[in-house]
Amino acid sequence: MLDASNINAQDQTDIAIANSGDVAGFERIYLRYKNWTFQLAWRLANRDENIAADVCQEVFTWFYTRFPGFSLTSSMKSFLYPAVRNTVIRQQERKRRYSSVDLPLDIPDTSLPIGETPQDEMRRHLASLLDNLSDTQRHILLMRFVDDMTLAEIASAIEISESSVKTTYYRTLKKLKDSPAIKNIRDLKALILLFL
Amino acid sequence: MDNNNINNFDDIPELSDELQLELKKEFTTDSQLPLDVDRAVLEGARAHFDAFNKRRKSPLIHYLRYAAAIVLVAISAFFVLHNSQTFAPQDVNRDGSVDILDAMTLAIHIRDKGIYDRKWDYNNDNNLSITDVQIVANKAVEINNLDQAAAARLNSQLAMIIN
Repeated sequence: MLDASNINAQDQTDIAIANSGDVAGFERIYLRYKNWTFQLAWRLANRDENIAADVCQEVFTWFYTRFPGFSLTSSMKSFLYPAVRNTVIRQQERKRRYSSVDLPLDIPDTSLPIGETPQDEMRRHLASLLDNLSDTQRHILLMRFVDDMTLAEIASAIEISESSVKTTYYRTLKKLKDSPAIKNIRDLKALILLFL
Repeated sequence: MDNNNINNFDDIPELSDELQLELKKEFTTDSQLPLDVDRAVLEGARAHFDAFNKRRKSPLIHYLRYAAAIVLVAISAFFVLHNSQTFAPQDVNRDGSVDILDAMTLAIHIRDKGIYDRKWDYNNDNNLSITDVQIVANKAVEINNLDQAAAARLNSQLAMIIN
């Protein structure tokens, strides 16, 4: 799974600079990946921006302490992904431990009823589409299309073989293609465009 | 499904652009990483790299550390070797020779009711007594070629010290 060819040349150069003791190398890597890391952390933390920000800080703080002497054996995204995922899990556990348990279990919904817009319907169809996928299929799909990771990067990040990722990916896309929700999404898209 | 086909990337169907766009919209946020996180990470990184560069630019400190380690090892080795120097069992005062002074030292120790020490209990009776002193004295006599009469005088004088 270690494939040096996946490593971005710019990342390699900046790592070498940082390993020589120049903070500029690390700064460039940080600026290049901070938003990607934040988005990933936000998604994995169930859209909690505070946790996502804390995770980013913790991951990059851990990262710079590995210099000098750091060596990247896969792509930067593959390296950061497990670090972000594990930090999110830790942060969520920490938050659960310190959060109040006195809240009533059933909180009445006092929000005003709002009619479902085509966009809401789109979200609903998208959610039902993803609900039909297994956890691994959903993860791989989101890593591929939301986190913009290649299949090789995904394989390296979740530590399974690239052929397993390809198989799962193929099955996922086939499942999506055959899903009736896809047609609904296409119809809705046309509807939304009509309204805009 | 044929796995052989999967290994050929051309056969993997791509997700439509529309759906890719929807996924992106649904699973990304417009929010940006707060500036205080930027500041904390970058300041922390600068401090970390500065500390590393300081250590690297002051090799003297490294050499001093090595020198201190060498001195410590040398001192430890000296004490270990010094303490492991072998003495004759009867060399009570550990001055490198067995003589009348050893017998006297042990006799005085017994007279002053000094603590029991197994290494001076030459007859292994779990007790320090005139017999142990005599063993030391006899060894001194043997080594120093004293005659029997002198040895007898010496033993009686040592017995007087203890009593």
